[in-house]
Amino acid sequence: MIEILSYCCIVVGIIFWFWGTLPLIGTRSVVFKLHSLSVADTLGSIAIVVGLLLKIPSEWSLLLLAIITLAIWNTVLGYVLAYCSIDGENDD
Amino acid sequence: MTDNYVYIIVALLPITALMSVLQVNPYNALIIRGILGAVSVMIYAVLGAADVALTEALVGTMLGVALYVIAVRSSFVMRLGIVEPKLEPEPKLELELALAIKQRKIRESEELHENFSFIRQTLFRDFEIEPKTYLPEVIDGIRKIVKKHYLRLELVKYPNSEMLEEALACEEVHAICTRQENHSNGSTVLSDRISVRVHRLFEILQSQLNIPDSIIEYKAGSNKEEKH
Amino acid sequence: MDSILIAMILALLIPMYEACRNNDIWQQMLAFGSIATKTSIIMLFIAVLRDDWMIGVISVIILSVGNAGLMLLAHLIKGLNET
Repeated sequence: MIEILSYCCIVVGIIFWFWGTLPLIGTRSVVFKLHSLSVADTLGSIAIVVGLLLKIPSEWSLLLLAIITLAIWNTVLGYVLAYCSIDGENDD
Repeated sequence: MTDNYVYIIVALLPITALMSVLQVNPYNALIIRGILGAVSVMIYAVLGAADVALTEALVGTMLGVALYVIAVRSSFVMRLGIVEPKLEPEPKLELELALAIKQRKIRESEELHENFSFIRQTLFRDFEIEPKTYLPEVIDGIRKIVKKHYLRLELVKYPNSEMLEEALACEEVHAICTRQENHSNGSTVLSDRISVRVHRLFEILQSQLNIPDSIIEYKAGSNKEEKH
Repeated sequence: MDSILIAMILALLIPMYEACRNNDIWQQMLAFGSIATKTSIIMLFIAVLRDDWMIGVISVIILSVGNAGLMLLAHLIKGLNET
């Protein structure tokens, strides 16, 4: 039962990855791409790590650290990138 | 140990290396270098070399790329010297003006303020006309051409033309831009003279800068061994 | 498990293609950030698969350090556009 659940989590995470990364190919603005990318990268990666956590609970400390790092740093990085790129566009 | 996916991951490394080599803009190439670093970190970790992976991530990707960005930013610059005299109204004149107004003894302060600004305008009108020593379109034209070659244009201002010539001779600037009057057929024609010290820059500017009434000349430096 | 890893590597190829194709510097920064996160997650996945603590710790460190380096680079490039 847990095995199936963990596989489901990992597959959902990979679907998130593809869904968020495919808009990168298009010709939309940087901020739109950043939005879809940050949502997909953070949520997809957290889903994959949760799937791994369900599958192999013995390494819970490492995986929990990875989840916390992802949640904090990816959010901050998205904010910083948006701030810098908007400022750069106004200058041109 | 040697699973099938290891081969696919290792195949990513030459692809990113090729991408990095094919980039023209130095900053884009540096970002691709960062991607190359991330991919190589993954390869080292997958192959079991954790220490190499950590070193590559810290030194190769983070410190190396940041230092290279700073180095490229400070070295890809063309310094253009121009003449810009300092325009400061003399303090003595202002004092005399204030004294003259005080002597007139205008009571209402508002009226005084208006009169003061009026007199100030009429007196200082001559000082507010800046003697334009360079044309802005020449600077813009040079900036555009230089940007195509991924250089920045930095304007260095000198108070008079003697110091400008000296700066070019001392290799403080790469080029100077001066404006001179040509007396021909009884009429004065203003023309911009751009003297370039670096030969490659001279070639680029001569082939691409087409602004009327501007002369581009090449002035070799005092020492013949150019470091560029 | 191999098929999941291959799907992850395919997802990694998308931002790489994007970074190669697009010449705008901010789009390339986005692709770089995406690649940095994805490679760390792939490393973590492989580490957990092999039950290898050493690679796991390294991948978590790189996950945080790579993001910090990216922020530094973003600020440097922003300062570059201003001058």
